[in-house]
Amino acid sequence: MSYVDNAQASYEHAIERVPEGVRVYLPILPVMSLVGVFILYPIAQAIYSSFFDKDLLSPAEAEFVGLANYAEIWTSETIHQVLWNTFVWVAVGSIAAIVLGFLMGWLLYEKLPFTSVASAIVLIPWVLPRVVGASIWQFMFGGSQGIINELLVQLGVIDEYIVMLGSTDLSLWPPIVGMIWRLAPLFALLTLTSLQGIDEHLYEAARMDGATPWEQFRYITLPMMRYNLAIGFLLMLIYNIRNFSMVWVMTKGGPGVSSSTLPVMIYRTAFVDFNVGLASALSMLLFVVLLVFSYYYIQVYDKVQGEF
Amino acid sequence: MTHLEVDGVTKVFGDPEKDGVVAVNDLSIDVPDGDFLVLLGPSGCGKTTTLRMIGGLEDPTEGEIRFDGTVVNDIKARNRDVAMVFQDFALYPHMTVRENLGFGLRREDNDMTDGEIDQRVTEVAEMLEIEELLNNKPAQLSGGQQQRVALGRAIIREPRLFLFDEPLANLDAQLRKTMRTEIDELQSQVGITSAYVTHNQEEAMTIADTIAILNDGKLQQLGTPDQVFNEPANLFVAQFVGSPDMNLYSGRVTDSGDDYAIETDDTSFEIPKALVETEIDTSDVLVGFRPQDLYQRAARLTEGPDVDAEVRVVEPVGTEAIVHAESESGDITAKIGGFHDLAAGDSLTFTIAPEHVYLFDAETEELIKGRLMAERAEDAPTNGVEV
Amino acid sequence: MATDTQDPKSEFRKNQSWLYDTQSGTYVRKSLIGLLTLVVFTYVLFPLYWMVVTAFKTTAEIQQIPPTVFPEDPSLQGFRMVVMSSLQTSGYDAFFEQSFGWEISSAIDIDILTLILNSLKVAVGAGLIALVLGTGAAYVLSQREFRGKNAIMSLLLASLMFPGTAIMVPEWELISTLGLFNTHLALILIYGAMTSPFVVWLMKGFFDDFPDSIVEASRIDQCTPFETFWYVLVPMARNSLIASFIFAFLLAWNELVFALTLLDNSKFTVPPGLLTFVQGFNTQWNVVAAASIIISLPVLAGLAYIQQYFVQGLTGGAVKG
Repeated sequence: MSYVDNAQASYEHAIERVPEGVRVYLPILPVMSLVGVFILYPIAQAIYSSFFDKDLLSPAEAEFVGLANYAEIWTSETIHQVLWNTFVWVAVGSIAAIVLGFLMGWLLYEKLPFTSVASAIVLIPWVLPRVVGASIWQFMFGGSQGIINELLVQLGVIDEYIVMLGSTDLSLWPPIVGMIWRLAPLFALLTLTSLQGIDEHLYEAARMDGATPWEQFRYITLPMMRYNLAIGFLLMLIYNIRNFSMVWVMTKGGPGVSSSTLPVMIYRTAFVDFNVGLASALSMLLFVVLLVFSYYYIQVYDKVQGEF
Repeated sequence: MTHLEVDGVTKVFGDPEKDGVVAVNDLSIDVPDGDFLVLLGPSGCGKTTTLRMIGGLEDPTEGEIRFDGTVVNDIKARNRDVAMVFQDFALYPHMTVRENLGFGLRREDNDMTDGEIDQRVTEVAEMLEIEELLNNKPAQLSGGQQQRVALGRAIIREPRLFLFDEPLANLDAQLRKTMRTEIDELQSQVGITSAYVTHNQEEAMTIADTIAILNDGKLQQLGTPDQVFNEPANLFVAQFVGSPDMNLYSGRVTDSGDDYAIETDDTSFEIPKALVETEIDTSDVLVGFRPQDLYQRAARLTEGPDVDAEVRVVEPVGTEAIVHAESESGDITAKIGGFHDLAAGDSLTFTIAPEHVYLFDAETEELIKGRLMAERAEDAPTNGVEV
Repeated sequence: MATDTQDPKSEFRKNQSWLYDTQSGTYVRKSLIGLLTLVVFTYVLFPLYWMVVTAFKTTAEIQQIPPTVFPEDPSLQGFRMVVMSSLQTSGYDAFFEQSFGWEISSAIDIDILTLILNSLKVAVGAGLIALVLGTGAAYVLSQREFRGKNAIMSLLLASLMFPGTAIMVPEWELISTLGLFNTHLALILIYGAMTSPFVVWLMKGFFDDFPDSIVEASRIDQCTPFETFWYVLVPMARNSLIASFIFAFLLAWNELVFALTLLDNSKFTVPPGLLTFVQGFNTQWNVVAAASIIISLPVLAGLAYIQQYFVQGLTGGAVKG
């Protein structure tokens, strides 16, 4: 132990030379610098690049163009189409994932046995590597051998197999179905956890007061879960709007931009068209939306922390 | 075997110059070798802080703590050779009972071999009757068993001091009583000087050799359980010790030669001067009756005061009953022993022997007259009052 | 129950009681719930089932129309081709041919072994960085009060939301500037930065709940600060530390955007590697499914271990039971 004591003594000695007020920040410094360099700095870089006409392959020849990239976002019909896609994606994807997830969570809590095993199985879609999940759905939606075509024919919805991933009218929807499949389990788990956190006695007290099952749900379950549900809702929005893999694997955003969302468009603009300036301006758009979501996330977070 | 001295110790949390909170204020306690000291007081009175300063977990802002005359202020907790039992037991959850018990021994520079440590662990486990649990983890034990392990971890090191921080607070009532007795027996068996923190006056009264009663960081009284009950230094101690609470009335005193005449809203009576240690030089006093000392007038006649009251609630407690009644000037609580047929609405008259009456100075709240034990009261006229 | 017809709620209650109090109501309710359960869980589980059965079908059966719900002729062909292909591209085929006389040849080109090794390297590196840096920061953030603490916590929380698509373009520029393009170090650093806030939140939760009295007990038991750390804190934190590591590991294992934009084919990790494979061989779905299963196994093993930490980890401890 004496060796350790000595090492520690000299360590303590070195530490003591740092002023008290600064010392406490030392252990935080490495994390903050890593996050600062690789996450926060790029955001600043994106702001800067968004004012330039910049080619990915020859960034040195960048030319200052002011707000031209933002003007393009404002006028380009293609980008408007992408933004509309993104809106539809986030709205439909989030709402469906929440409704389905809540239902799943409630069923797991209330109606199904083996809750912990069942919830682990339900969670698989969320933890499966993104590319794997997306590949499965690509296969299932695929034109020639897809099981979904077969299912729709069996159900009488369609008469013969149709090409879904390659259709301008339909291609947005299969990735949304895949995304709901990936996100709903997450919301289910949040729901389950919150339900498990509610004291049984509250329900017993409510039953004594003559509350019907619906009233118990309305006046006990929902209010008790409100912050957890708000967190889940924001997470759904965030995961949906920043999703890249589900679309990219299934359709690459095509045909045309019919299934492109904002992240896919950013990727295509930067790494297919090499237009870094426009891609940065689009990134700023995504960033601002994420910032708003994150702001509310932190607000709700603080409320939750305050409650416990 | 340690003579513990706490000498003029003050502890201020935060900045003493600005908004510091004084947790312990100029506290001095002398604990002779082998004594069982209980620090008693309401929460926030500084008792736990005092214990932690003795253990070395907090540094005193001022004053000295001495073990056998040596100042230990600058000695770290791990070098003080004290053992502590925590309120939440603080067993290491990742270690078995055996490892928990042996952990302290392995840290010491005592050159014990593994075999010797193991043997010592077994001895202590047998002493506490937990030898069957040695290979279990704390989470597998009941509250009482965890408590025993925590005790074992303290005993095994044969430390200079035992410190107990509300060790029974997390146990149920039944277990609390058994463990209380066990701790008491164990301490007298090993004879190690101990300091014990509790807010439970009943626990303190049964277990202590010496009780130190604290309030707002200040020592109110240091004495034996009998002393703090019969001769509470002030109103705070009188109200804190004893259950049910003491009945209190404001009264006026007049000197009537051989006696002091006391008058309250309900009653008036006389106390022979021989029962009072000092001259009473104030007219406003607080008169205190312990519920245990009140009798029904019909049951026994004495020379003391009598209070007419109407029964509100009777709480039977086995062979006794606690009677809550209403007199002219307020509530009165009495503990009546033996047979009774009281019911709510009954009128009755309480009385009390003059030697059992407490008197406090209404202004300073200091004790003027304490409760004299019956035999001493008889001696009182000749010997004066000495307790 | 007193019914007051003025009260709209009581009207509702009456409507409700049909569902709950009568025989036919109960029947309707139960079948509705049963149907819902069936639909919902089919949606979740069928794709997983489909992946598994596809992996065990032959290439011929894959192409049948309509598809078969159960494999008619269960076969390990898919798995065999994945393994062979990997051995071939890694150059182990010669070794097997000489040692055992096995002939290995495959038309499929996916070197899953190298992909997995690359991913392991990146994921373990990022996990360790996040663990070491995150734990220290978490300890201070939990135990001490200081100026800027809340701002730091919020910043870390927010930084969990941004990575991936919002910053892929500037990240590419940054990595090029640093001369780290097409290196695994770049991914290790970025994933470390993405996951350490995660670890901070998870470990902070652990330290917040850690009872002070245990540390004090160890001081009374004559431990030096180092002994307290090593014999008491670390063993007790073990589960949280492992969970933190697995979270960081899984993120790095699954991440596609940065791996795709910052690496070449030669350095690919599993996600971009599988993506390239899927897009190149999308008729050989049994091979794709087999490869998918192989690379999903570590994730499922990890999930089983950290399930109890999952909600806390995902939400930075915001959602508690």
